[in-house]
Amino acid sequence: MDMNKDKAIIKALESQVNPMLSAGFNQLLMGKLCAAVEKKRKRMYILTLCLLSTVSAGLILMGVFLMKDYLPSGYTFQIPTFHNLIESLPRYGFGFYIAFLILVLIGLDAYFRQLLHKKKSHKSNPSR
Amino acid sequence: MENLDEINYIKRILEGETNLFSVFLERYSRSIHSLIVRIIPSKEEAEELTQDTFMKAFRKLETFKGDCSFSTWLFRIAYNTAISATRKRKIIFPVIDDNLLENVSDETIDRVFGDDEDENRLQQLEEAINMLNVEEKTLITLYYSGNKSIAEIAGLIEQTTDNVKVKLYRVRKKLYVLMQK
Repeated sequence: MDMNKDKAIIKALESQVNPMLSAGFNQLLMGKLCAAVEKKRKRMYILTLCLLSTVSAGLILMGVFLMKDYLPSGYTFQIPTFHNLIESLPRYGFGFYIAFLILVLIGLDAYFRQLLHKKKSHKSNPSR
Repeated sequence: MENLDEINYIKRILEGETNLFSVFLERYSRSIHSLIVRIIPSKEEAEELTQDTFMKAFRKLETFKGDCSFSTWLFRIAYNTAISATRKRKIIFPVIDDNLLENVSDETIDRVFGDDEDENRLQQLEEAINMLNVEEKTLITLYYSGNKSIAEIAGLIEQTTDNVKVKLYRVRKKLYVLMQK
């Protein structure tokens, strides 16, 4: 079957009134798509926030429950190794250790932020 | 080459460059609308369904595996969207007796459709096209106006190439019979 042979069908299809898309259809649709993406991003952000809040609240509640139920009863929350560790460290050793940990974490945070920023700027200008 | 280019665009859209989807809109919105408008004659509804098609395509973009061209995938979404819309309407199409189609010779069909000068016959043909059912209209639109190959159409409507060939062959005969009415 050769398409070119059926000239009458091609002509009949072409002559049928074919309404055009309204002006600015593509821009309007792109606007709607971007709005949908933004809405989805916000929903994910709120969902993540809710999840984090629930987990945090759960952990706090668990902590309160443990403090309330176990500490007054004879079991008590003794952390012998922790006590021993503090005692075995020099006077301000533990403080320095925590400060060092905080510095490492801040450093890592700055490094990953820089990495993310680089990735984003590369995406917005791929020709670079 | 175009397919590779489109796959690259899809990858970047999925990575967050939403604005790149406008490339697909510019490239396919008119052809998608032309197909839908043949299935759904209402201008407003056709435009709404074109919009639905692109919204669905955008939402399902990550499911595009690249086993067919992006245009075939997009046209398949458009076809299914339009078909779903017609199902709600319950339009009745004329049914032609198979014996009537059998009696039409290939030579007659080739002669009638090979001539595009007779205005009266073209008018009859236009009316006959309007009487075809949704699938038949889609087939001739894609084959004659959309310049799609038999294999592409087969992929689009999820049928075998032989099946598409037989259907196109029957549509030509049906058009001829409808023109005589």
